[in-house]
Amino acid sequence: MSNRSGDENRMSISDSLESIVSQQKIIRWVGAGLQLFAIALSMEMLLGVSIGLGVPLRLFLLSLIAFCIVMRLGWAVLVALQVSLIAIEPRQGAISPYPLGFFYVLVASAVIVAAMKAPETHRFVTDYVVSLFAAEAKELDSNRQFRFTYVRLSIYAIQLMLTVVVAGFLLNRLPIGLQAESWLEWSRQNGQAVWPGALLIVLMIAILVLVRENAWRQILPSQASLYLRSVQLIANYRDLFGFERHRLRRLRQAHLQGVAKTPPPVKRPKLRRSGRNDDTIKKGLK
Amino acid sequence: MTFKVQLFAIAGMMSLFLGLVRGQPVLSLLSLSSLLWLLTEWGLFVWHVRFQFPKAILYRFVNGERDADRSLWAERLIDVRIQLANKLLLHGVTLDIEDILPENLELIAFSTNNVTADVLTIPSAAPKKSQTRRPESRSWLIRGVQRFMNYRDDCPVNEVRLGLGSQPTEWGYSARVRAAGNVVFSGFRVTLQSTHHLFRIERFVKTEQSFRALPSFVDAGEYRSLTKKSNVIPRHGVHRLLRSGMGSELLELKEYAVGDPFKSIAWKVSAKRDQWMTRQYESEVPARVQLIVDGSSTSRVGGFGFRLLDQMTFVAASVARMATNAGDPVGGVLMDERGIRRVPPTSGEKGFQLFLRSLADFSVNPCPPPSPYQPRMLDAAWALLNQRYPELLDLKVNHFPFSIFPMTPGARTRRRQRFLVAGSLAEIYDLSVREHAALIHDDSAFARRLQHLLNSGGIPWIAPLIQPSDRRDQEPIERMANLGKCILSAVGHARDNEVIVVISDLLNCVSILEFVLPSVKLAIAKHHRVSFVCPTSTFLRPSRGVAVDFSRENTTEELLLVAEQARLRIQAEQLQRELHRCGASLSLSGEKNAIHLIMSELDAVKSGHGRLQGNLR
Repeated sequence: MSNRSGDENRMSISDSLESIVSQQKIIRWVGAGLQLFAIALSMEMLLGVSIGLGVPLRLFLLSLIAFCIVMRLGWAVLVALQVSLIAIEPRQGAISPYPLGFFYVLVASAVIVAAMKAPETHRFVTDYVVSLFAAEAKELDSNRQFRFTYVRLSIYAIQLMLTVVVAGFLLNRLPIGLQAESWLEWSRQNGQAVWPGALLIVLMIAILVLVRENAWRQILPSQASLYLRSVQLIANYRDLFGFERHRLRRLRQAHLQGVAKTPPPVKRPKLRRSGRNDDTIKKGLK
Repeated sequence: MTFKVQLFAIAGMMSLFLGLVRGQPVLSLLSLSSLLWLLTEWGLFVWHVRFQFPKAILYRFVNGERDADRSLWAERLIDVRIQLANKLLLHGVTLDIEDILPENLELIAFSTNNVTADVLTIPSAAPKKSQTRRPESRSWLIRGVQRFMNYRDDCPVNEVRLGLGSQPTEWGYSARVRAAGNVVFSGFRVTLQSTHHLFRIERFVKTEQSFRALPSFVDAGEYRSLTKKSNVIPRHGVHRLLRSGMGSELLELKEYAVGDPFKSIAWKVSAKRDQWMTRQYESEVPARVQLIVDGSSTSRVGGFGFRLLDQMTFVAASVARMATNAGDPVGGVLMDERGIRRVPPTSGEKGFQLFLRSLADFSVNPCPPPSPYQPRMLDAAWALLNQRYPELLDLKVNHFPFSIFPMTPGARTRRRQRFLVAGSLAEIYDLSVREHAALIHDDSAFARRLQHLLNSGGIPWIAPLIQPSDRRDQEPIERMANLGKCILSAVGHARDNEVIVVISDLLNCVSILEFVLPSVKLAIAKHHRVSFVCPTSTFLRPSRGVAVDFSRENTTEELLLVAEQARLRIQAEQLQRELHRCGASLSLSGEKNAIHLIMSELDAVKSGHGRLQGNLR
């Protein structure tokens, strides 16, 4: 009896779960469409190429961006943005970015990352909406999930901000453009190297060595063994190919000679169709 | 690092260069920040690979047990549960874990009992209830949209995705064992990838568990004896063992002696004779059954559960079960290309289990006969290596010589695949450089290794693994000659009046039965009973009534089935005629009728009755 009631409870829970999942699916689809539209629209505005274009062309551009987001072609969106900047942005002597440019880059980066992480943000938004409207989902879904998502999105935002700030700092500090002259002056006054090329090369080699060492340490013993095998094979490939060709030729010749010496097929026993085959039975009995 | 990252990095560096040269600060800033962002993502991924990935320790429980020395049963459901030992800290990455299913298992459903709450609360993280992977025929656009929606509807039930905050500590699925043999769980395919699919690492975590799958059997129910038990005059040479015992047939009446049970007193006879008389019953003489199972290569071709051998083991196990229930000892002779193995006749439950274990070990496919190299072999091996050894197909470690010789793109791809597979095989089988080179240039050596790899990977004997042999004419003759030897061996080890059951695919060997018939005649001459059971490729008996129904539209499969049944019918009639002439009986397919026929033979042996009319059952 208890088993039966347990089964019924399990069935009712599964039914309610299915209905929740179907509700979630609808909200997901609607939410995904809205989110996609928002990202595509902001990206189109950032591109700045649509100013003065007709509605059909703008819609086409929007759908193209949405397609890139859906197919996870974040790099294509970035390239499009960079190409538009090459065409639109006026040339300046100084590389140090102004505040508006800094804000533009921050927004553009956020949109690109949102496009690349669209499923995750979309899931967060959907879960939030579902929790507002569906009581069962609210019960089932724990606050832990939201906490995790908030933490995750906050980390993403901080990471993005940091990268933009560090990039701005580097562009400000590196001796490029107008900064090159001030760097030169400072170097002359302090008796330092004229150009930090040597330092940069040494740094680059050190980083390269570290990266390669890290990559080598990450591979498995079987991969290391295979690497050595394949390197050895490539080094001796010509000779090995020659040996193999010779061996195969000899095998082929031996096979052709052996065809003539094929053993005869198995002889069929003579069996009388009717009556007892006394000879066979006697042989068997012996 | 995926191809996307390379494109991302190239685009970023080029635009940074242009921005610096042309003096465009926003472009430079955007490009540099995108490159830095990529760098931080890479650093995060490397941290996960170094510190979190090794912590993904997984345990598998089959029917609640981790030990692999337990036995499973064919055609029964098993419950597989997977446990994650540690909680992982995953940020910006997902971990896909796929339990590699053995070929001998059929996936049934995601099982929800005893699953921790995490799985139920995260629909996108939990595996969906689906029978199998959905076909890949849907358009790439729909698949892309579903990926964007993060729906994992096409995710089979043996896969699960873990992310930050969505980590089920335990999950599982149900599966059905297809056939007798063994079930080898090789391990887990674990894929760690960043959420935007820029970085990915794939590993195969080897957690091998091998279970013996015992053959299924059926209790064929009550069978009606074909012989009249009493008043039977045995044939010349057949002796009934007339000994008092606890059987059901009346043997004689005798005077009461002290110690005789009261219930055996014959009251009426005692009253007539005016002295105490008791009834004496016949002893139930156990009759031994010798099952000869022919597991030669032709019976092993096909997927698990669809092999002729599966029908044979089913019949053998069912007969053994019924004979054991009746108290008769069961032995066997198992024959294939590897040789002949004898299972000594034993009775009782222990003997039955021993016989089943022998059948299960016999059902495991050995290394197939060498076949010539076919491109499909390479495809199958490529798929298997991608699943089991993804790290060996990495181009960073598996190098191969570049050829400037002009060739078509398809040919170049095949060449690349062959070099990569050869390198992986050299590593797996620890080959020398010379042998490694031989794999690249020698087709026969390559095919042999590929066959071994596919066979050890549990791939059934289907087209890529085996090819039609050029010794097609000689193989059946050798098989029949071996079968004759098996029958002779069974006769040599037999006592008096035994039942010898030959379970073999004889339908295509009617014209060469003379290799078997002398042995059959010898067995019958020595007063044994010989019964043949032939499995059919359609798993159905070729009954006379099968015909095409022209009143409705028949599918191609139905027409093919009818044609095949008609062909089998002709062959079966010829076979029955030949065997009938010798005095042996024949049953087709692994149905209950075959089991009943054998039990009737057993019954006839016990009663000492003359030969059965071996009709086409």
